[in-house]
Amino acid sequence: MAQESVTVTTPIGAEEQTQEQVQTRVTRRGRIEKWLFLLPALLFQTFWGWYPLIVAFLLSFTDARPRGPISWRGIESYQRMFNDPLTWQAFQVTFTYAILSIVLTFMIPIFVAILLMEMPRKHMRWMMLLWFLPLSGIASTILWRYLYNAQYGLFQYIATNILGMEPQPFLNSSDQVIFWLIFPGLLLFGPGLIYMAGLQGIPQSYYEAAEVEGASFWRKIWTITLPRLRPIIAMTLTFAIIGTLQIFDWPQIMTGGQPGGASRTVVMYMYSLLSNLRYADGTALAIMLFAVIFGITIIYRTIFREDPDA
Amino acid sequence: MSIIDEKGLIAMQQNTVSRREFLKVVGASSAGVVAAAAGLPVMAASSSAAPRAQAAEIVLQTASWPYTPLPETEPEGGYSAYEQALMIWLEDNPNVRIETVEVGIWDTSALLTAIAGGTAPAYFSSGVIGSWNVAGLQAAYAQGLVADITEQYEAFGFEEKFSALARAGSAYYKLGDRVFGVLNEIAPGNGIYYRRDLLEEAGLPEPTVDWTWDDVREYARALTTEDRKGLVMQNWGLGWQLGAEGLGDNNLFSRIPDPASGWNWKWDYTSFPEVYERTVARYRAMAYEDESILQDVTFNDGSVAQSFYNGEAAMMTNPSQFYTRVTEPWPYAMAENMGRPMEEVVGFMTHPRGVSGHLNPAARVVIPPTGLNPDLTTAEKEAALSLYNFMEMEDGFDLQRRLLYEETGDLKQAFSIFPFPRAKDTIDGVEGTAADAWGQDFIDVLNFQAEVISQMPEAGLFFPAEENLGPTGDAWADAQSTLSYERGEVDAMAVLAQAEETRNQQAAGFVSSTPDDVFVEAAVAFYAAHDAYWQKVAPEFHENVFTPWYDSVIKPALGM
Repeated sequence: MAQESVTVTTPIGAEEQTQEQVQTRVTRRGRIEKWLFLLPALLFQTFWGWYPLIVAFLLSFTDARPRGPISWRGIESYQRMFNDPLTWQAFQVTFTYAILSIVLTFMIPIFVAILLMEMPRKHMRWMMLLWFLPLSGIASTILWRYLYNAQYGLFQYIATNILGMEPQPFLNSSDQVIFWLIFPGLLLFGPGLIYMAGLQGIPQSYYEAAEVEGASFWRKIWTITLPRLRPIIAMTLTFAIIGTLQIFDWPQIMTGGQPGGASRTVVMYMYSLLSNLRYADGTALAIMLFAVIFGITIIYRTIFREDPDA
Repeated sequence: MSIIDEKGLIAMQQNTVSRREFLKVVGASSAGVVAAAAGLPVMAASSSAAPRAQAAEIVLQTASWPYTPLPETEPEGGYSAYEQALMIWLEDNPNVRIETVEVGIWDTSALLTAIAGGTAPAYFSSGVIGSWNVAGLQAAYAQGLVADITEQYEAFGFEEKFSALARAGSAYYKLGDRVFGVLNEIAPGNGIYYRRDLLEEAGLPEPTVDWTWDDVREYARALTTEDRKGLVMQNWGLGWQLGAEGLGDNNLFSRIPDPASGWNWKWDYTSFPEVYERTVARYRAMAYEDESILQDVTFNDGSVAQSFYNGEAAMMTNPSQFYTRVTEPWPYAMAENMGRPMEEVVGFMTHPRGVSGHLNPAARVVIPPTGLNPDLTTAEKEAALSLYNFMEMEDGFDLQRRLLYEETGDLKQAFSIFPFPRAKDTIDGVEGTAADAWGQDFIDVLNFQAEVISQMPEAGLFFPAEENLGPTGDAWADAQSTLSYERGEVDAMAVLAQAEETRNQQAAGFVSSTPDDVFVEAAVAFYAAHDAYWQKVAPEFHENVFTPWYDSVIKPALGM
């Protein structure tokens, strides 16, 4: 609707301005303020995010090294990595790890959080305390190595002496190693705390209205809880996808990629290449991984809409 | 404990005698704390004519290794042996300051980043960026990641000061005629530690240098009880057994010269199938039938040592250098914990031979060289190496060890981390030798590793360094772990064929930086050296195994 031009009263001695002029000035100032607020984050992202990425991309076409001159080599590194069987094995391991990890340590906490919310507050706090185990990285490595040891570990004792099973290989099996590497994540409750915060934000009146309509527990979950959690799930799933596809620390420390390369992820192979002074090849592999993660994220964000009312 | 009493300190403060001179008198008298006064006879200066640090101020930044700065104030118990030695050197070099910097020098990516960014400390262990092997180290040198110290090496006379064993491992710190490192310690070679007391209980004789892996299997079986395994090994344990036969990874029969290809090398993991199958079968029998091996995919040197220390295994595979470490979890500390002399409890033998007498190259000397920051100026390099020379080759080393001995009365403390990199294997002011400290039998094994096994031709001394290291060892590691850990039936030759194919497929993507004619010349010399070596040390192996292979595989490949 067009605004009528109105003369605005200004302090004595000040220049008279129209409302439009004032609005324009406010809008322009607002835009400048917005950009000023965004500037630090933009600069950070540019210098610590985009700039290294662009440099890495360029380096992947050279015979990169830490010191001394480098020369252009074109797609030599990419050809080498494409033709390397271990590259594809690493991608396969990485995807397996990511899918299993997301199913077990991402999806399950959603339902655990929902069930926890049904408990009395006092019980809920105790359950959260038990679920959330703040284990330090190095200490947990030592602990889990002991637990998984195929000859004297606690899990082996439970398997053979209590459950009466045959001795289990745990991390020594190429079929089971990924599962056992992910298993500790189940105990750490993952993003469950974030879900619980989101669940507490859902108005109770929605559930009361549904109960009046005769909705069952699972119907309420499906029609109210999950749609309301959708923005949080979308955000945390994005981070989970990116994070699991770049997994490195835990399998590197626990198994070093063994047995048989069954736990060697892409980032672990990249580390191996860099340790062997093959910087360009490692960088090319990093760019390949980036392209895969970027593509998956774009597809996922296109398909999975966050707006619960959409 | 300080050997400097009040009178001595006053004398030094009055500059009537230097700290170095005072300590030389103490050392010569082999006494503990000695009252000193002005007028002490002036001892001869250090015999070294090595250059000292330049006059301009120099700051040596270290990441707490191998040298740390002096504490700002004297610690409660007095200065340590190291600090007292350092004080002498700093007194002689007043323009040099040592500072600590925070750099992860034991992390490959952190150290590479520091070197690239010009923030590396003065000293680091080059093995961290060189994958702890000759090829990796030489590639690091070729890429300029470590300072060239050839001039300083000659000026300080390190070639003459280094022991024969240190010189036998020169491929680790030299590239051609250029020098890129010095030595803070050397590892004579890998081998097997055993509980001497448990062998005696089981009625087993002490092993000899001629023992084989079949012998080890018998020992392991006899030493296994309900609470203890016979042998604990790292996750690459199968590699020890294959290496004894010259097989696997980059061993003698597994990496073949191929000048017709771009990379000049190809891998062969399928020749000698009967030897591969027998060796793999023996390892798996030890693990799953005898159940005499403590093994796990997570096990490394430290895990193995801890298991041996805890009494979970009667034998362990580990480098010989840990025999002379006086800290946990090594045998010295284990024996101390048990309240028994180490000689009664632990013995060490070099790696077993192959069936026909082949010696395991893993028992060759290994040197983790100390490299210098490539950005150091000439003056800084001289200062850094002057400090090294004093602390590791000359008076400073003797002083530290003498003070340790005087403090503890333990000859093992004085001769810890033996053999020394320096040729002089005694300590001024300490009566006794390394054999007195660690036992003649251990010294005999070290001598065998040094004089026999370490003379095995090293490829790094024949072939020019490759700037690009080529395929990683991951494909071999995968095959090795599959053969070791997969339960049930395993088709060993299929696994090995897969590893061979992968490695050769990877190699097809590389071009060697060495011209073909140079490579062939080097290869001819390398294998001729092997021919002479095996004829001398393992005649049966030379005649029955090496020569037929040399004639049918190597000579045709090199156009001989």
